[in-house]
Amino acid sequence: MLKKRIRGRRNYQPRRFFRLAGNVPAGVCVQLSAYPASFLSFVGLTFNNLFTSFQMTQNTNTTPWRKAFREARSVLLPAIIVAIGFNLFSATGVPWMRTMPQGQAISNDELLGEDTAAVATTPPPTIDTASHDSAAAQHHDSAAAIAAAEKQRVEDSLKAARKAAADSIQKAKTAEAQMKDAENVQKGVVKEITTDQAKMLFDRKKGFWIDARPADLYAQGHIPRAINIFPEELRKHINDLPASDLNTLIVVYCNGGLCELSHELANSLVAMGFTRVVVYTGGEAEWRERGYPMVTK
Amino acid sequence: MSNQISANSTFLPENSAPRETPLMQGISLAARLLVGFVMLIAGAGKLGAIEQFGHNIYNYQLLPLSLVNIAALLFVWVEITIGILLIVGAAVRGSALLSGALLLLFIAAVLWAMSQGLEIDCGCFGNANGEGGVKVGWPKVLENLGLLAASIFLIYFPRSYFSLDRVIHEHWES
Repeated sequence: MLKKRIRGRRNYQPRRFFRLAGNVPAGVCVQLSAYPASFLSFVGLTFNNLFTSFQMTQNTNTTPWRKAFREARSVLLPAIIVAIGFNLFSATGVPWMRTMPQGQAISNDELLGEDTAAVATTPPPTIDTASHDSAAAQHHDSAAAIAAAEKQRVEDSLKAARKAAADSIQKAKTAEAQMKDAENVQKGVVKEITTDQAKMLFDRKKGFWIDARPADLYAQGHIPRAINIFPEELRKHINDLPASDLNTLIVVYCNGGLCELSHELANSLVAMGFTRVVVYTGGEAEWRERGYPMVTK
Repeated sequence: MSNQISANSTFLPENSAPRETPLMQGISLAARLLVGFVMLIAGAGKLGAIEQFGHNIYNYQLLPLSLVNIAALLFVWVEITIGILLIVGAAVRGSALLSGALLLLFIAAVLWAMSQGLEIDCGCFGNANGEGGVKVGWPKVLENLGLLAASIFLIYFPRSYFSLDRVIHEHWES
């Protein structure tokens, strides 16, 4: 009875669609265009093929590996189709090609903002000299002393007014900077600097430089004074960071081009509370290309 | 000639092939469920955080940035498909082969990361917030080797209890 049934099935041939999908998986998409089949029928085809395929592989006398390869083909195809469909129609779909995160540019004034602010808050030395002079004049005669006292009072009030103005300007600047930094933390955006700006900072010995590349690339050559922190290893290097001053200017770089490590590290540093983190997007590649100094570990 | 054709025919029931012993079928079931659940949990854990998984892949420094999202999507869905098929016991050989190939790839990637001195998250079971993932290291290599051995076992001994393949096969024979 069984033999008869087998003999009856011997000449069974799967339909043309199934054979195509089962035997020529690489060319399926090309072949698909030759058929008036919709996307849904193609999905149905692959699942049908999956069913047929494991029926077939259960019953062949070929080696286990050959059977496994045949089945794997039929498993892989639906998985790829589902992956594409999921990414197309899901709300959590991701872009097919990942691109570099875009940061904001930063001006030279903003980069060196710390210095200019320090200069602005320093009281002009002439005021002190004048007060010393008027104090000396008080010892000569009373009229002169009264005039000097009046002058001193005016100068003191002027000095206080200047100081108050400078303080309020400084406070406004700080508040603005904090607001911008808060925005940056919220958006996960860090500012970017060009090679010229990076060189300017390097020449002025400004900034705390961090190389975000893997240790072996860092050892092959890096910008002098830069320490190596791979983003995933940030926790291990927390003690190496200038934690005492969160306003320290930190310059992060990696390979340049499509290297995303510097942005990742910069975002982590901003999230930690550092307020002045910039990414040198040109990275090691542009620095080396310009012939700027490099050191090896 | 006719006998030879019928012996080599693709659609002959495997009535002459030696059946696995109950012990082997039991071991096969255990291996199937182990690899299946690991794959399903690994894939499903990453499904909601494909962006982060792409990031984990990028940290290995083996793929260019532009390709990591495609790789992440494929890995996740292949893992989920393999997991489901192994749990229900359908296309066991093919699924085992794919899981073995994935595990070989993971072992190679972890060894590569270790050789480069990278202490990165392996990205194995999803890590949506980017914190507290399993780091690459020898325990991960050994874990993957164990799963690889189970996958190879399943390629040679796919028959087991409670499998869809078995139901279809019995239906075919009847």
